Amino acid sequence: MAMQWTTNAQKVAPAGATAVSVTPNNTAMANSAWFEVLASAPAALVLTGLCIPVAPVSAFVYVDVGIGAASAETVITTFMGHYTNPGSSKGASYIPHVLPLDAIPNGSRVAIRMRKHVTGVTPWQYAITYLEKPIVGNLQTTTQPQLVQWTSAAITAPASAWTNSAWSVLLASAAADLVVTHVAANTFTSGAQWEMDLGVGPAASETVIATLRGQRGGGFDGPNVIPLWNPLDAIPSGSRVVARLRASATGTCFVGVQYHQKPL
Amino acid sequence: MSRPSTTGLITRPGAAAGVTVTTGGSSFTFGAWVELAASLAGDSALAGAYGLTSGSGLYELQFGIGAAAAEVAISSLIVDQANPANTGLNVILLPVPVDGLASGSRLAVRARRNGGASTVTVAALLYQGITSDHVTTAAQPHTYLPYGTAGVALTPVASSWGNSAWVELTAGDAAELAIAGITLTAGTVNVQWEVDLGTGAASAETVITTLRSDTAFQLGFTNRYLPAALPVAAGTRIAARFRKSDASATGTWLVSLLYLHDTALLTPVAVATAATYVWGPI
Repeated sequence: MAMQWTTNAQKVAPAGATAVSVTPNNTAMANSAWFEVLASAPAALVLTGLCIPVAPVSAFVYVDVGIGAASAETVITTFMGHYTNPGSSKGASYIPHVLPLDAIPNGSRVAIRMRKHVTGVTPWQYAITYLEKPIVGNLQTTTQPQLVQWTSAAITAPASAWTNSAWSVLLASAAADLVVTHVAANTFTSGAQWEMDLGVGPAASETVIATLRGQRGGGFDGPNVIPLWNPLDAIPSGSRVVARLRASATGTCFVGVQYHQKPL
Repeated sequence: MSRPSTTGLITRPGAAAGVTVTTGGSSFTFGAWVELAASLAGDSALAGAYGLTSGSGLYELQFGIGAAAAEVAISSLIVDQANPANTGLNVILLPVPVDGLASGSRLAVRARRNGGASTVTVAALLYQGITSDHVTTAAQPHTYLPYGTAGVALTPVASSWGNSAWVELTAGDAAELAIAGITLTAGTVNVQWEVDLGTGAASAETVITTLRSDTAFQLGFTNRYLPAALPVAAGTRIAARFRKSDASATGTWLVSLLYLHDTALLTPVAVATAATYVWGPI
């Protein structure tokens, strides 16, 4: 047995302070400016997660973490989520980097930028968690960025209870062998239980590779991301990646994944 | 070492509503076991659960294997649910799956909470034939401290980001334990928080790790897990303190330690020996 473990202390940035305020671009899906989270990494760092304590509007949101001097930042990974009617009524938001990211050299400046699918410039807030290297223990990390993808259209679960929807495409062709670290499902019918299949294969020949389930209680939610602590390593390069739904009552939602390209 | 699995999650029950589990009639009293799967179709690992509570509070979902009336607990999943009418996905995965559930086993769940009788709708999330070696077994189960209570009270201070006093979570377990994370019941909303976990004697604690999140409206499950298990040697006192973004000294804040019991990560044994596991902290 080789359980993942470490005696390294997790740390946060900013530490002991309110999270960094990020003003979004007022244009949908356009990047914000970069906002500094850490002026200079005190050691080589392994990124373990993203806190989103303030999410002011309903939106699909994408958050890039980057390193580099101001105006010369390079994206090292991306997180995504979806919020419905958040304001002061969202879930407590922390999205782990399930495979901790070993991509922040000692002395690096770390910054964050965001984009969302709606307009508006009300600030969001972010903080990061990390470990300082060297790592003591048995911890699998990656140098690969986390990539993100939602279905291009919402999936509709049929009115007949627990009947499968049609498959919806997440990726037409995987660019490499993929490892899925998170699954996301945005706003579904309140009170309805649902199951989601992830599949691979050509149209009409899809094979289920994983099934998750959930239920949305009511009118507020977010970030709507489920971390897979044992990421799914079942998508060969070139695969068509798809998702479908079934539920106790009809409803629609988008399905998303966060993933890495292999080799990790 | 490999964290990913080439096999994916499945649900039990599948393509059907979750089972309804009723907690006991008094605080932290278990209700009856309810069957999730009559017979697992293959060797399996418990990965977590979907669960929507009908009430608010701290709930313990305890999973077990065995025939009706002879279930043996394999792990507990602790969740704090402040507002079940307004929630997100209501899915929580154990940070380390519990492997070793033999094909043909009957899987069941029971529940209790810090309050009177209530119900939870539950379905298990499982792996069949998990290929990852990032697993535990029923001999090193998921549990929590303080066991069978709603947590230890943290007293907030009246200054923004000012540290609370340390509170003891355990004076020291008889065996090594591996910290998985915490559950924090919030005393106020719209607050950003950090929780330090520390070891050492009272008034001489040393921070061993920090977790951070927020309490916008405490929707859904609020467990916060570390990136990997943090082993702590047998006999080590563990304490917690917290700080937050507002300056309110009011509200009831409660913290529970989520951990794997009786691990051997720091001092792996060369030869396995039989051990009797007593459910709950020793």
